[in-house]
Amino acid sequence: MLAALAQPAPAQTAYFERRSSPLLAEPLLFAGTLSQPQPGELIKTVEGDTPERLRIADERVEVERAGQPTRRFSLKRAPELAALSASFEALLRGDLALLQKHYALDMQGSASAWNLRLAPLNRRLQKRVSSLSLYGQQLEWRCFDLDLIDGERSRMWLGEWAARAAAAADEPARDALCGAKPE
Amino acid sequence: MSVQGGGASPEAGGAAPRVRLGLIALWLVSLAAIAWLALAQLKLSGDLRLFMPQPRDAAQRLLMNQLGEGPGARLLLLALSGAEPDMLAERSRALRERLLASPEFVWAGNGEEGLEAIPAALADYRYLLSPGVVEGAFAAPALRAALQQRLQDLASPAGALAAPLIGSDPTLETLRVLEAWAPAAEPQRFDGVWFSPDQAQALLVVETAAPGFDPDGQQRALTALRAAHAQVLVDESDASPDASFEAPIARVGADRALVAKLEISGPGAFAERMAAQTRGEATRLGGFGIAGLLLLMALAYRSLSLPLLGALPLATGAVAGLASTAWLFGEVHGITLAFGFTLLGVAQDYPVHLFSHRRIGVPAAATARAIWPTLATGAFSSALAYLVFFFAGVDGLRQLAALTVAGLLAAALATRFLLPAVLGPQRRDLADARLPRALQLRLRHVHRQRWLAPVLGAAAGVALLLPGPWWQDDLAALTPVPPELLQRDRALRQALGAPDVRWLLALRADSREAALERSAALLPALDQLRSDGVLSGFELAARYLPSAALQRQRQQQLPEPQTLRAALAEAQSGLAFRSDAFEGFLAAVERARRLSPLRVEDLAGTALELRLAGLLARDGEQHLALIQLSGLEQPKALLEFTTRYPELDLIDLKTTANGLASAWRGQVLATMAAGAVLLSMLVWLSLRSARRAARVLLPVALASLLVLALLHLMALPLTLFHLISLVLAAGLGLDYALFFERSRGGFESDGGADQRRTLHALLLCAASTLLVFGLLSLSSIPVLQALGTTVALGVVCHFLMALLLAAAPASPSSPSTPA
Repeated sequence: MLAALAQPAPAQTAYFERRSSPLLAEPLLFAGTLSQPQPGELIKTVEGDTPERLRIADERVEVERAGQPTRRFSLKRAPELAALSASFEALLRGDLALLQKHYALDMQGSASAWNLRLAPLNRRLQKRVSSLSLYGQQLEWRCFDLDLIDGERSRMWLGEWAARAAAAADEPARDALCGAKPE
Repeated sequence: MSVQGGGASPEAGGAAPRVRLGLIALWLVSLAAIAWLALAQLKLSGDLRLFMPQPRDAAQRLLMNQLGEGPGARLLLLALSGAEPDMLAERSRALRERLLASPEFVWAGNGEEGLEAIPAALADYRYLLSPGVVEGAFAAPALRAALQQRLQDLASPAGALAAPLIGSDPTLETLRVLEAWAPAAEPQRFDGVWFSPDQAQALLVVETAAPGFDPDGQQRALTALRAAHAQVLVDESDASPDASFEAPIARVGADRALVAKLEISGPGAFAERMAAQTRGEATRLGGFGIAGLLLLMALAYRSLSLPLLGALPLATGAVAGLASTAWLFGEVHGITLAFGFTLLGVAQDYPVHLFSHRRIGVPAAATARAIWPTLATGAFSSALAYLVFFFAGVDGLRQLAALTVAGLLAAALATRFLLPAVLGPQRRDLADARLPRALQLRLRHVHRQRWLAPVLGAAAGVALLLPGPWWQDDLAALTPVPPELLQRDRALRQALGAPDVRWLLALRADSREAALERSAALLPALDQLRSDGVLSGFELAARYLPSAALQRQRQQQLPEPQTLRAALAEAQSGLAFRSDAFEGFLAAVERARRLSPLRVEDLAGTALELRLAGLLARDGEQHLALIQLSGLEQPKALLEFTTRYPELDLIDLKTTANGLASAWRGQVLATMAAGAVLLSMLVWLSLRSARRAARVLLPVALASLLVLALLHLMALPLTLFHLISLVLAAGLGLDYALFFERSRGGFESDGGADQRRTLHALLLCAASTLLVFGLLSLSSIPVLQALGTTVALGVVCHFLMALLLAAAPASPSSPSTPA
C-alpha cells in the first residue's frame, strides 16, 4: 500500500499546519507548501506574515527568514527535522524497508480510514520526538502528526485537505477532517 | 694456616646441614617480615616532579605548576578513523556522551555545544555571565523582539536547540554564554562535529580528572576511554546489523575492510606507552641478566647452591633499602626503585668475595673476618658517595640515597655476619682455578706495562678537550617516545586548536579579582593579535568567569520584578503566548538579582573547575592569570606586545625546563666533588698509608676520566643518569682497586694462592657486572641505555686501571710454584 502511495519526484503538496505548545495560549496556524524538487531534497515554505523557507538536502538544513541571514546547520542537530525529512522521503518513495529501519510501525484502522503510527528507534531521536502519525483514507494522505516529548504537537493537513482545514470553523471540525481519531 | 688434605673438622665445616637450612629459613622469614612491614607503609609514587629540582624563579615555579595541574597535562587528543564521515560523526557523538557520563573525565568536546556545558546548579548565573545583559535588554521593546523570534522558533522546527529554554530563558542568554565559552580556535566541522581537514578522522578532546603527574589515574582514564569506544562500536553494530556496513564496504571495495581505529595522543598516552615499554624491557633484560648471572656463578663455583645463597645478602640489602625509604619518606618513586635496585648490583660483589676467598678447612667466618677490612672500606666508601646525593636538591635523589646507603651497608654486614653461618664446608679451593692462575702468571708482565695508565689518562684528558656537546639540556631527548608519535601529537594539537604546551602568558596581580579584571581588559588586544596572525588562539579564565565588578554591573541591569512583569506583559500583548508562559523566566531573573557574584570556588565540582584551575595560579603573594596560547607563529611580535604591559610576561616553558635542568647540574656536580673528597679521606684513614691510598684512588680517578672521555668521544651528551652511573662505576672500581691492592705480594708462604683467590673473585665480579649492565645498554629506553653503557664501560676501564696500578705480582723474584 505504501508503494501505491508513493509519488515520484518532482512532487508538491500544499499543507496547513497547526502547532500547539504548553507555552502558547492558542496554537499557531500557518500554511504553505511542501515540495520535493528532486529525490533527497525537501523544501517547506511557510506563507504569511513572516515567510520562511526551509530546505533539507544532503543532511543539511537551510533556513531563510525574511529580514534575517540564512542559517545553515546539520540535520542531526534538529532531530524533529530529521524525523520529518526521513519519513517524508520514505513515504514519497514508498520505501517500507527504510521506514522500518528507523521507526517501529503500527498500522490501524481500515482501508477507508487508516492510521499509521511511527515510533522512532534512534535513541537521540527518541529524546525529542515522541511519535509521528499519518492519517489517510484509501490511497490518499490526509494528515501528518508530529508529537514532541515536551508537549509540543504539530498537525499538518495535506493536499486538498489543507484548504479545507484552513476554512474549517473550529478545531474539532478541523480534526474531524483527518478521519480516524487517535486513541 | 692451611689444613692439608680434605679432612673436614666439625668447626671447619661449619654447622650441620639441617641447622644451616634452618638458619636460611629463618633469614628468609625475617626478610619477608620486614619487607611486609615496610611495604605496608610504603606508597609507590609516580609523580615525575620528584625528579625535578626545586624551582628557583617564578617561571620555573610556573612550569612545575603547569606540569601537574595544567590542563595541558590532562588533555588527551582523540582521532576516530576507519569509516565514512557520517558514521564517524555519529561515533564521535556517541563517544562524547559516554565520556561525559564517566567519572574519569571532566570534559569531552567534539564540537557540539550542548546545554549540559552549563551545570544545572549554575543556570541562574546566566544573567551575570552573558554578554547580552546590557542596558535596555529587559525593556519592553527588546523583550518583544525576542518573543517574536521565539514564536517563530516554535513555529519552525529550525529552532530546535532553543525550544526547551523558551519558557525560562526567552532572551536565550544561555546560548550567548555557551557561545562565549566556545573554544577560540576550532577545527573545521562536518555534520556539526570536529573533523580533520581531509575528513578522514573525527577529532575529540577530553580532559581527564586525574592530574598529569598521576600515572595510575591516567591509566584508568585510558582504560575507560578504550572501553567506551568499544561499547560505541558494539552499539553501532547492534543498531544496524547489516545496512551500516554494506554501504561503506560496497563503496570502497570488498577486498579492503575498514577497521575502526581510535588514536589517543597526549601526555597520558605517552606516559602509558613509556611505562609499558620500560616494564617490558626491564623484565626482559633483567630476566636475561639474572639468568646469565646465576649461570656464570654456577660455572665459576661448580655449585648450584652458592649462587642462590649469594642472593641472600642482596635480598637483605633490598629489604633494608625499602624499609629505610619507607621509614624516612613514606613513599618511593618508581624510578628510584628501579635505579636503587640496579645500584645495589654493587652489593652483588660482596658474597662473591666471600665465596672466592674461602679455603678448604677454614670456617667461613674466619674468611669473612679476614676480608672484612677491605670489604668494609669499599662498602662504606660507596655508601658515602651515595650519601652525598642526599644534598643534591632533588627529592628523587634523596630517596635514592636512602635506599642505596641502607642497602649497601645491610648487604655488606649480612655478608660479614650472616652469610658465613649458612655456608657449608668449602669443597674446592678457587686458587686452583685455571683463569686466575693464568692471569697471575702474567701479572709481572702486566705490572711492567703500568706506564699505560698515565698515558691513557693523558689521552683521556686530551679527548675531553675536544669539541662536542657536553650536557643533554633538552629534556625531550630523554623521552623514549618515538619521534613520529610526537609529530602526530603536534599535528593533532594544531588541528584541534589545543593549547601549546610551550608558550604561556602570565599576568600578575595582587588578588585573583584583579587578575581576572586585568586579563579581561586584555581581550580586545588579544583578539587583535589573533586577527594579525601572531597567534591562532588563546584561552584565559576571564572568558569563562567575568570579574565580580562586571557581574555586579550586569546585575544592575536586571529590572525589579514588577517592572519586568509589566514590560513582559507589554511585550507579550498580541502574541500567542499564554499569559503564564514565562513565570519561570520571571523567577529566574528575580533569583539572579540576589545572587552574589560567581567566584572560582563556586565552580568546585563542575567541569569548569578544573579548566579554570589551570588558568589561575598563585605564586606566593601574587596571583597569576594565565593565558594559554595556540599556534604561536611569531614569538617576537608577542614579546613586543608584552612590553606594553608591565605586569604581563611571556614564558617559554621549554627553555625554562631546560634551564631548570642545567641549573641543578651545578649543585649535583658540587655534591659529587664533595663525595669524592670524603671518599678519598675514608680510604686513606682505612689503609693508614698515603701510598696505599694513592694506589687505590689513582686508578679510580683515572678510570672515571677515561669513561668520561669515551662517552664524549661517542658524542653522548651527559644527563643526570650518566652521572649517577659514573658514581656506581666508581664504587665498583674502588672495590676492585682495594682488593687488588690487598693482594699485592706478602703471601709467598702459600704460593700466591690468596692472590689467585682474589683474582678469581675480581674476574667473576667484573664479568657478572659487565654481563648485567651490558644487557641494559641494549635497551631502547634512553635512561636505561645511559646507565648500561656508562657502567659497562666503567667496569672495563676500572678493572684495567686497577689491574695496572693497584695489582702487583705475588713475589718480585719468581712466579708461584704450580700446585
